[in-house]
This record gives sequence, structure tokens and C-alpha cells, in this order.
Amino acid sequence: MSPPARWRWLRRDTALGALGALWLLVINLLFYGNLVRIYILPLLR
Amino acid sequence: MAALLLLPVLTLAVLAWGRKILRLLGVTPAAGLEEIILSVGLGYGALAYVTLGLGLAGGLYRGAVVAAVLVAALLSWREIPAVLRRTAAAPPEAPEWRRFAGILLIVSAVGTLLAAMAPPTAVDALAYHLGAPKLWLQAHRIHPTPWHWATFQPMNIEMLYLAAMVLWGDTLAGLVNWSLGLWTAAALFLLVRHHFPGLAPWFVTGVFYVSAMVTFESADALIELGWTFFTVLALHASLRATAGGEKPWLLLGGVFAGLAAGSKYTGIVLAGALTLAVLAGVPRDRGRVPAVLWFVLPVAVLVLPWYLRTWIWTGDPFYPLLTAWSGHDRLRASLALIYGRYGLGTGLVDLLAVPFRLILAGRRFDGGELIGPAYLSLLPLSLSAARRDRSVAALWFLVAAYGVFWFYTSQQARLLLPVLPAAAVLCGVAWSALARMPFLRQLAAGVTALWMSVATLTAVAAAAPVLPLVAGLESRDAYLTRTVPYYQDLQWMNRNLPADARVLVAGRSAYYLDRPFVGGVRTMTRDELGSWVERYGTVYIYCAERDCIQIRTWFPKASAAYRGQRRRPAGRSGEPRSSVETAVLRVERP
Repeated sequence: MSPPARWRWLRRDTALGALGALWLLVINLLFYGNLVRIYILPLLR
Repeated sequence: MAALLLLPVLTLAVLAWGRKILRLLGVTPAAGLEEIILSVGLGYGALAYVTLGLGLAGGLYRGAVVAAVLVAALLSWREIPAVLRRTAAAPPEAPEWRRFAGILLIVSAVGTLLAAMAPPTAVDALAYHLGAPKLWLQAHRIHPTPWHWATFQPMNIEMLYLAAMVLWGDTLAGLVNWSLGLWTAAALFLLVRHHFPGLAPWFVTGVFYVSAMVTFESADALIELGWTFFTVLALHASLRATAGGEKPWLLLGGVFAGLAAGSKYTGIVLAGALTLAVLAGVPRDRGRVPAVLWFVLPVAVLVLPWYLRTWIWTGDPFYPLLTAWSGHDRLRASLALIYGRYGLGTGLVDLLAVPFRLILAGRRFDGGELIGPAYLSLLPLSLSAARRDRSVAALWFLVAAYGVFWFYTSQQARLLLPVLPAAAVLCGVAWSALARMPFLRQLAAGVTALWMSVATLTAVAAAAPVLPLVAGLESRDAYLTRTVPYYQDLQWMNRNLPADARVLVAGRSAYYLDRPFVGGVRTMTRDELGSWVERYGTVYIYCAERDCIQIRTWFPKASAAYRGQRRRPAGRSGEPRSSVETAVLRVERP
């Protein structure tokens, strides 16, 4: 059974790609946010 | 500076020895990188065991070590031109990521080289990686140092430091460690190029080497890089063996796994995991049991001297582990303290959360943030490839098995180092799998490049405080006074105590004290301390004021020969800066 027309753009790779991009962004934002908190902010205080 | 000139000489000597042993084992490596790296690994392994032999036989004299190195070099010097000839004919390297990772790798290596040229200051280096070898050197033999349980572990890398200290001094030991980091990177490059031809070797090598963790490890005489070097070589030779099934490669894999297992207690776990991977990798029709025996035999031969040494000294080959489990309460309590000091728990939820916590709450793991976000970002993206490729599955098994073992023991980030090269290969697998998703691939390249750049900055930052010393603008004394909290106390003792003074220290380290010392006064009973006083007549006890109070109640006639102050810098786990009153007590036999 083919997906409805309005979901057709959502192919497997697109979904996986978006999920992967979200993963990379979340991990790296959290990591660098924490790095700034423990190393940079104490220097500014 | 002279140590910097000695490093290439020592490297050439171990290269020559190693190639000779390689040929004796009947291994025929590819010309160039493979031959050089395997030879250096074997040569360093041989140097570790020659030093161990000399140490146990009471032959730790410069003449003896120089003679051993010279004799071996004379027997094998002809190997060097042969290696160079074959290397010149080897094919050129892959270009992907070469310029970016290559430049950052060079900057990181130069930065950490400068940092490594400074005298050692890392706590563990002073306490036992160099601390124990220094005491052994003073006594010209390896003897028990019971106040630091870690000296009962297998200590192959410390044997290399011991040899370097006999030949020149602790700066050469630091440089040997730094070079072992670069050799690990080279071995990883080789492993990828040989076994994973679809991957980008520069990318994988960059992910591993250009990281704040490797910077931290390269800058001081810690031992994880050497241990990791042997582990990567064991993995390479094992993959070679399971692909072709030749006996010499199995033997070589076992030799390197044995050298890794002889570098720390936990090394035996990695050797065990590798054995299982070999067992699974050898096709059934080629005889799995004989293959595993060829692999396990050298492991057993190489760890045996270490476990025998500890067994003879303590009655427990894995001291203090078996002794603690069999009911020694004080030991069990101190082990529990070591295990409990790091991490955020060992429940099931903690196990699932640990990959995130490791880098996001890194201070609880003694510097987990140094590992960086590249591994966690990319590793999950390599999972699907594990189903298709047995080698990828073997790497996942190694990383996961060792990771779980690590989780249930001491959760210190740097103890993960030996499996980070395997994890870096998995990152390379992920990078390659992203070929059909250009946007995600670019994003992955971006976050990896960002972390490599930050890590390179940490290498530059590590070099900065050392520059005045290396440039000759700051004396060694001045450098150590500002970097080692209790250095001035030790200098006072070096200047003022009699040359034959017997010193007892409260803690475990007095590396810069030029008198033989006994550590662990803080945990000694009245009788134990009394027996030292009885034995030597007069002893000097270096302690923090709060520990001295107890000693003064035991020995009311003890007089304070010196009072000082020990500055304690802010800890990597977030402890604030503080200072402690210290004293040197003189205690005489009544």
C-alpha cells in the first residue's frame, strides 16, 4: 500500500536523515553548552 | 633537549630489535607502515621485559641497561636499512581528510611534545608510573612498594619509563609516552587502511588522535597510550590472523594482547575479549581450538612474570583484588572508595545513561568531557553496518564488552582509552555509511571538524605554560614550584635532611624527594610506625598537620623540623582550590 500523497515526500532516507541531524545537533549543543558552563563561565565571573 | 635527540635513537634501536623478532616469529608484514609499526611495538615490548628482568635480578644500573640496548642494537642494526628500502617502495596514502586531519594532528603533536618536555607533574605519574621506578632505580632493583597497591599491577609501560630513566631521565620517559601516542595513531591508520579499505583512514585517525583526551595523556607520563598502542596492534594482528588464518599472525596477535595485558590488570579483560573475537572470527573448518591456543599461549607467557611477582610478594596474584574479596575489610573498603569515587551509579538506568553522562557530566568521570562529542554523535550511525560486516561487528563487541566491564569497575574516562581507536573506526564506518545522505554527511563532518579544532586548541593550551621552561626563561625549580603543590616542602628536605635520612611520607608520592622514602604513613598503626623508628633509629615524617596530630600523640617527643604549606589546586572533579598546613617531624628511637 503506497503512503498518502501528502506524506510521499517523507521517504525512508529523509526521515532517517532528519533524525540523524537532530541527534547530532542535540548532542553537540548539549556538549558545548556544558563546556561553556564549566570552563568559560568561571573565567568571566 | 638532549632527551629529544635520544628519542629517535631509542626508537631506531627498538625498531631494529622488533624487526628481528618479527622475522623470528615468521611474520611477513607489508612493506612500509605495517612493518615499521609492528617492529616498534615488538621492540618496545622486548625492552619492557628486558628491563623487568634486570629489575627483578637487581641489575638496574645505567651500564647494564645501556649494554642490553647496545647488544640488541648490534645484533639487529642491519634491519634498519632493510626497512627503509622497503618503505621507499610502499604505495602513497589516501587523500580524503588528509589535509585537515593531518594539519591538526601535526599541531596537536607539536603542542603535546612541548608539554611533554616539561618535568612530570600528573598525580599518578608522580605517585607510581614514575614514582615507583625512581625508588627502584635508587635501590637498583624492583622491590615491593606496598603503600601504593597499583604497583602490584602488571607494569609494562612503567618498565619502558624505567629504562628511559636509567638511560637519561624522566624527560625521556615523558617523550617515550608522547611518541607512543603517535605510534598508536599510526597503528590505527594502518588498521583502517588494511582491514577497512572503504573507510577514510585520516578521518578515523583524526577522530582518535586529535582529541582532548589524547592531548591530556600525551602531555605527561601516564600509561594509557602505551597500553592502547599494544591493544591496537593486537587488534590489527588478530584481524590479519582471522582473515588469513596463518599461525605467525595468531602468535603475533597473542604477543601484542599479552603486552597489553601486561600493562594493567584490566588489560587481561581486553585480551579475553580479543580471544573471543578471534574464536568467532576463525572459520570452523580451519580449527578454532588450535587457533585460539596459538593466540592465548603468548598472552599467558607474557603476563605470567607479572602475576608471579605479585603472588610471591603478597600471596595474591591479583593483589589487592582477591585479598579484598576474601574478607580483608580495610582493603575492601579502600577498593570500594576507588570504585565509588567516579561515575554516577551502577544501576540499569545509569548504564543506559552513561554514554551521555560521560561527556555531559564529565567531571564525575575524572574528565569525561575530554573524550568529546564525536564518538557519541557518530557511533549510533554505524550500528546498521555491524549486521553486514563481521569486522565491524567484532569492533562493536570489543567496545561494548569492555565498556560494560569499565562501567562496573572504576568509571574513570581515561580507562576507556584502549577501546577508543576501535570506536574511532566505528565513527569512520558511520561517516562512510552517510555517503547516501549528503546533508547529514556534511553536518557530521562539521561537528567532527569542530571538535578536532577545539581539541587542537587544548594541545596549544597545554604547551603554553611550558614555553618559558622549554625556552630556558624559567628554571626547572621555578616551574615545579608553581605546578607541584608540595614541591617546596620536598626541596626543603632535599637541602636540609642528612644524605642518609630515612623519610616516611603520609601520602603515596614524594617523587621529587631525593631520599629513598616509605609512603602510606596515614594508614599505619602505632606499631607499624614504631617498627620503622625501631629499625632506623631516627626517621623524618612528612605529613599534613591533621595527620601529624595523631603521630604526636603516639610519639610525644617528636619535634617539628619544618613547617610548610601545601597548596591544593582546583581538582578536575570540581573541588575548589585550598591549602593544607604541613610539617616534617623528627622521631627518634627512645
